[in-house]
Amino acid sequence: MSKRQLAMVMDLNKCIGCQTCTVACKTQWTNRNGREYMYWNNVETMPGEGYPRGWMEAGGGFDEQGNLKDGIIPDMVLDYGVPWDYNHEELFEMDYLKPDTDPVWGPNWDEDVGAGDYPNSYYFYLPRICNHCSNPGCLAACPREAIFKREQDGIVLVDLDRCQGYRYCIAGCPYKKIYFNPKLSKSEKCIFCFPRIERGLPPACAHQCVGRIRWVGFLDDEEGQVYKLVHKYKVALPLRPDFGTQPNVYYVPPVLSPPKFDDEGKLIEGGETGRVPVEFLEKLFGPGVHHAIKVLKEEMEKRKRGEESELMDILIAYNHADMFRLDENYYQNLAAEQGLKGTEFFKIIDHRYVAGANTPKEEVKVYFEK
Amino acid sequence: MKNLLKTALFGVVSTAILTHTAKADIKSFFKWEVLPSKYTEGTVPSDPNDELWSMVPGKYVYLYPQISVRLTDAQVNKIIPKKRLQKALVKVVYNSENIAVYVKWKDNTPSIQPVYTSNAFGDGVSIEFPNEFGKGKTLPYIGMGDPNHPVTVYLQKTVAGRDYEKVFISEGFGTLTEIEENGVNIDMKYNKATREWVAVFKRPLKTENSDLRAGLVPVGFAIWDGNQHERDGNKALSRWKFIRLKQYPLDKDYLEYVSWGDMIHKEGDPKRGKQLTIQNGCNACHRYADQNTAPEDMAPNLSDIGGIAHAPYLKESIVNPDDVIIKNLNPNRHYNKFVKPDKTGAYPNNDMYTWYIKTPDGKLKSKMPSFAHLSEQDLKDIIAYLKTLRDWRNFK
Repeated sequence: MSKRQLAMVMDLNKCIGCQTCTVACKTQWTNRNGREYMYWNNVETMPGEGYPRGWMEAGGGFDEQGNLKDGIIPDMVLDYGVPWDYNHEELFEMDYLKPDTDPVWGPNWDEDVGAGDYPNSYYFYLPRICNHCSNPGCLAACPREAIFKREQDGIVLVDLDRCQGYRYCIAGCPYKKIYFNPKLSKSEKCIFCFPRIERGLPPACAHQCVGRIRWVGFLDDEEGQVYKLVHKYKVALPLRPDFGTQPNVYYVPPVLSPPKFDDEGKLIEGGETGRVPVEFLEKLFGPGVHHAIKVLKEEMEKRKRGEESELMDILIAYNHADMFRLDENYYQNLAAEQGLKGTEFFKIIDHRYVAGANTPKEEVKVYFEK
Repeated sequence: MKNLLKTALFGVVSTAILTHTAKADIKSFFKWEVLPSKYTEGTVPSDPNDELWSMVPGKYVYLYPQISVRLTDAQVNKIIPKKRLQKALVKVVYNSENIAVYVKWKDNTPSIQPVYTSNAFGDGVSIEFPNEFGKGKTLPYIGMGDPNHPVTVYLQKTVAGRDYEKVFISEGFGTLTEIEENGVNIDMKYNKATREWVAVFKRPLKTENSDLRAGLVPVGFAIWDGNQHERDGNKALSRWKFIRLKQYPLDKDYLEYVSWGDMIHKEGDPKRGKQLTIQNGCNACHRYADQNTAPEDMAPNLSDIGGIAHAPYLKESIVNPDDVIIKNLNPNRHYNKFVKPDKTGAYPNNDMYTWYIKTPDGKLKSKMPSFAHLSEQDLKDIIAYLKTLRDWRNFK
């Protein structure tokens, strides 16, 4: 639907679950104005319920024929978790630390729980942002046609002037990565940090990542590392491709989990992916996972033998300039074509998003008679 | 009431020689479809508690769950078959400048969209007027108009902390565009004792978008029950009702047009009508009653069309489908997996699910062919059958 497509690759072998990306996103976009409960970027433990709770079973996406499926809208308290604070003040009076509400769920509630029995328990971290899908479920579900995919780079955005807060987009997104802003009564979602992207900077989550697990670039840029990971080596795979939305965030599957122990406590050698069952990885990343594991192991062996491996060099993530190949003057040229100068640059494509005029009237109406 | 009928009928009958059926249609039309109104020299009240309302005659309007198009909220779709018919009492007051429409309905579970939740919804109500109506004008699609018949929609929703009062121009699904209209005021109050919502919509008779100074003004109603997750297309919807404004002349041609077939159940044979719909292949695209073989979303679901559409609208839609072109909800809901995706991996939309085509000169043409070749009696039988369809309980 768009001319070009931006994509992100995340190497799950390197994610340590530190949530720096989450905090980078939160402080940049979602710590205010009705977005407090949202995590446009979150890191969850897999296997697990995830965030919001049970998103993988909450419907949305397309069936095998390409028809949008019904979905549900997660509950603020039961599925997302309301933002809460702790009684830091009372701690001085010999109280114990407790939240100021009685939460039953929250982001990362099941952190590090994972699956499997000791000593073969396992888990890995799965950072998630909006997938900026090629056939977005949210866009398809909107009866107002308020969601659009930018021609220039495939970023999926909400036109806040058209959005009326009906929330079918939330039901339609199989990743539950679009959220309802109760304060504005409109839907909001990850914007792939487009104001940064247009200036040649990667999204905040990718830039701040301490493990350097994220690559950002255009999928058709054959010189870019994103292209090489996704199309050349085919080691980066979409999450739940069976949801049918053609997601554009790709994951290098975790192949480096520790080996299993047998009943007597001895190491079991071999096995495709150590403790993490390959069936689980196949469920998450599709049948391409076998090829990806094979290529990753082969290239690792090559490197161990002291041979050259372009793939390993990419995954080592030597420098940001190569990991984030965005600009190449692409947006500057687009702006120049439209005759925009200076700060007008900001208007380049997103007048629909930025124009706003959505400030609600603050008049309070009394519906119930006293 | 009787007086109103008599005067109305007298006016019509004395000026035109009508057939017996047309007379019967008009009589029934006035009884069921026409809303009375009260002219006042004073100001038109916008307060639901204004004393004047107790002196204004009202009439009940029935609202049906909207199922012509299917929305993809799993929780709501489960609720639809359990819904009840919604009933609202409507009163109208006008003076030479303004008109106020009073809508009262029962709601045991008043809900206001709360300040901080993700999946709770507020109650709401809206009315719509066609931007153009009267002699020679066909009726718009009741679901917020269509490209040939734009409508003005007035909406009040209960959202905590805000006055969610809006005016829109609409040409069908997905086209609602918010506008500013001077002199519009909507008030909505809940009466805890009687467990009823009352809303009053007040607007000038003439705005830049529509002029209601006519003897018979079409008006449509929609009610949302927040407790049943209703919003947008998930709502209860009336068919077109007609406000009689006696200060303005009644156009007899328009009356004859809108009242046509009001007694169709006496003239047409629904059983034969159903056979005809099957013989003519209506069920190849539409779903209705027990006919559920058409692919979902291929065409509007007709299972409650009898509740929300009038006979003349149905006739027009069968004989001249291009007059009222209804757009499917978001065409991206169906993509075609059997063609090659583009270079970003996106599959194109499946054309099968768009309900119209664009001709080279930019005109919209319905995909439904005209059935103008059917005999007058065949049409009456089919319409008589369609008018019996009010069965959202079998919604699939």
